Amino acid sequence: MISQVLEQALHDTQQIGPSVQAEGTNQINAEVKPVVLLPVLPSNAIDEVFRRFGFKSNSRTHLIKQNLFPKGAPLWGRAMSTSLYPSLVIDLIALLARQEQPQTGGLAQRLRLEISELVQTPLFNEVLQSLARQLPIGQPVTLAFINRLFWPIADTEKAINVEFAKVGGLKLDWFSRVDYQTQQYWYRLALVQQQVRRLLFMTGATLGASRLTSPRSIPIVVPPVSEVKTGYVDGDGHSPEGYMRAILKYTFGVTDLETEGGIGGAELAYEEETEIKYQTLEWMGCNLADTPIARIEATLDQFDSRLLFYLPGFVPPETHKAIEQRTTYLEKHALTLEKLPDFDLPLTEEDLTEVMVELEQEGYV
Amino acid sequence: MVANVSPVKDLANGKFTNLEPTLDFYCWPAGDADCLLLKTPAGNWGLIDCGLVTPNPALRNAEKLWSTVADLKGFLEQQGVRRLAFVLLTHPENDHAKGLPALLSDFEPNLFLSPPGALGRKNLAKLSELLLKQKASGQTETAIVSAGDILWQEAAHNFRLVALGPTRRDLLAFATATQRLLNQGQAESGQVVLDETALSNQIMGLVEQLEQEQTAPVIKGRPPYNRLSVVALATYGRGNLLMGADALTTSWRTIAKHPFFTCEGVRVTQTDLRAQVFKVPHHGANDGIPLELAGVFLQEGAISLVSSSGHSFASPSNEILSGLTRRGYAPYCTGRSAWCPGRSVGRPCCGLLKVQLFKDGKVPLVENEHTWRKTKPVMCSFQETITPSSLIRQNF
Repeated sequence: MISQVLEQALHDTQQIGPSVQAEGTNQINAEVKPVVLLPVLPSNAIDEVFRRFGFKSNSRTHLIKQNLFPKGAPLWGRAMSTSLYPSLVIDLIALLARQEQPQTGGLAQRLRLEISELVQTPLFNEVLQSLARQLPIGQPVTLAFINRLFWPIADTEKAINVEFAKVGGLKLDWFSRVDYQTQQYWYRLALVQQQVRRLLFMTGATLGASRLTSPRSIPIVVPPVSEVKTGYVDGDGHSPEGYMRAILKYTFGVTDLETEGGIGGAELAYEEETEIKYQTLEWMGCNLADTPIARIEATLDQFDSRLLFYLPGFVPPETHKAIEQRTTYLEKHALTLEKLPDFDLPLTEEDLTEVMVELEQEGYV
Repeated sequence: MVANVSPVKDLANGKFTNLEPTLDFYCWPAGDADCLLLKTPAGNWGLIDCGLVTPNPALRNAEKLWSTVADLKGFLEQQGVRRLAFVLLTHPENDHAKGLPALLSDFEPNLFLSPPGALGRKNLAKLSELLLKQKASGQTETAIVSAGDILWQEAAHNFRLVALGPTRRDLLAFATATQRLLNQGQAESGQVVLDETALSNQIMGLVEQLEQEQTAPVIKGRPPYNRLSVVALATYGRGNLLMGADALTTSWRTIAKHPFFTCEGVRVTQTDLRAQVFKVPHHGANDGIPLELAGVFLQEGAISLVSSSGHSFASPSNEILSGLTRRGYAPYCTGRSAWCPGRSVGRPCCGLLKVQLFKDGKVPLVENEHTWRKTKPVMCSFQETITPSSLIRQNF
């Protein structure tokens, strides 16, 4: 089931940019709206990765216990960024693990080549080189190795921080040390992960072994950053601009930014999470009008709040019958509370005028 | 008959001995979310919002202070609570409602209170389903709340929990804004509704319509759910506890204009309502309490509490924290950020906060209880760092 989901997801992801690949160059298909996958696999998909590549079924649990892998993290702005790096590493590890399977002879070299190409990407030079240096090509992948990957590279001249959140640590994630001037790292790292996943899931028999034949079978389609929809909703810390401003302000002390006031970031993260859940349900073919709430919840439990993708062609959910139930419930069965004696908040014409002005100022026009 | 005895200080051990029932108020560290617990003088437990979640474990460990629904359940069990007397959902946003289904599945409320339209939101579907079941089993009553409603009262103890908001003006603003969102630039139809009951019904319909349309691309803009925030005032004798939910600046101005009602034959005015304990609205963001009105709502030296982890970039704002501090209401925060230490202004941030309010309006105790988790906050040596407020010194 999970494999099917992943494969379908991958299939949908390909719609991001049907390749318009000229010889050795990457071009942009302007007709296709860019949709960026959320760079986080759901936990059971990660389990599936482990399982498919011969790891123990509880590998992810081990990682969680060691605080190396986020479990069910809500979409806090920071938490999202911390989720990306470990899942990328897991992908890479799973990739490398394939070489030990006899039927994939020669695959190791190709993977090494692919990774090498990724490393050559100037955007990820530092990151991926640091990873590649440590990848135990030809060696069994152990938990200790995974552990080592997450810890900072000590005493290197150009040490980048690959430190994932330590218990009680102040440096919460790898992004703390990356240039926040733009959102490009975030976006482009997601693209790398996408490539890795294509390698992972498109080399299987189901999706056609022919893809195995060419080391350059997978095009890299790079939408312009300006068109990227990150999935963040607007608001401080949750839009690309807001995120950048916040980081500038709190990490680098740039204080002459207007980030105060407005809506609390937490709410937006929650709203976003809820919205994504509904989108996922739709994508999974869940008919919201008929499906019992309990079953929806069970489905969501399988796919925790960190999702695969924002998908194209999303259709708004139909009215769930529970809405009607709630209406009836509220209208017919709500208790009438006793009012305070003589309590009165009169609504005057002046109030009416003020309300209209307020709403216009708030953008409700 | 309840003895009207003031608390006295036990000089032997330096603690206050409580000789009369108190109103106990707990402000849980829920990150940038609200979760408040009341133990009434009669010993009933009430919950006001439950935005508890299970945060990213890495962040939680770093933070050491964030609480979860499991923590709250454990605390209630520890206190011997089986049912909640009342639960008030101040407004239908997840940072106030997220943990309610998980909590209420184990601790059923006798009375569930929410503002108009709240349960029509999709994100509260699970909560609605649960309430439906509990209602069907005859265990729970529900009620729609707006300004002037008595939410809970214990006459023998002279304790009341009343709603000062959402006012009719808030309801009108919400309905109009939502209608405009749905219209998306088209001409408005229909007349402005002013009657409160009609407004409530209209809001229910609008919320459901909005929730159905919300995912459609034509809806742009954020529904103003904060406008529905229930501002709750707990009055216990001469003691007042004011809880601001996410009430916006305009709502506070409205409440400040028309706060009059009659209580036990006495005309109550704004000055009578000034609180000794204040839960700062909207996690200390700028669009909550207008600082110039702080003196209208708060007694001198009032204790203010802010529910925020300090992570969020808009709340608490330095302006509000420092403004309250300058006015003598130095706030306590429930959270502390390991990421940006020193961000908070005023008091140190201390995790779970407990305030005891006495019938005569004295607030002798503000405690930080961190025993609810085995991990003791590193930076929160509460007992050592917090000195009594001027009010406490004055009274004792």
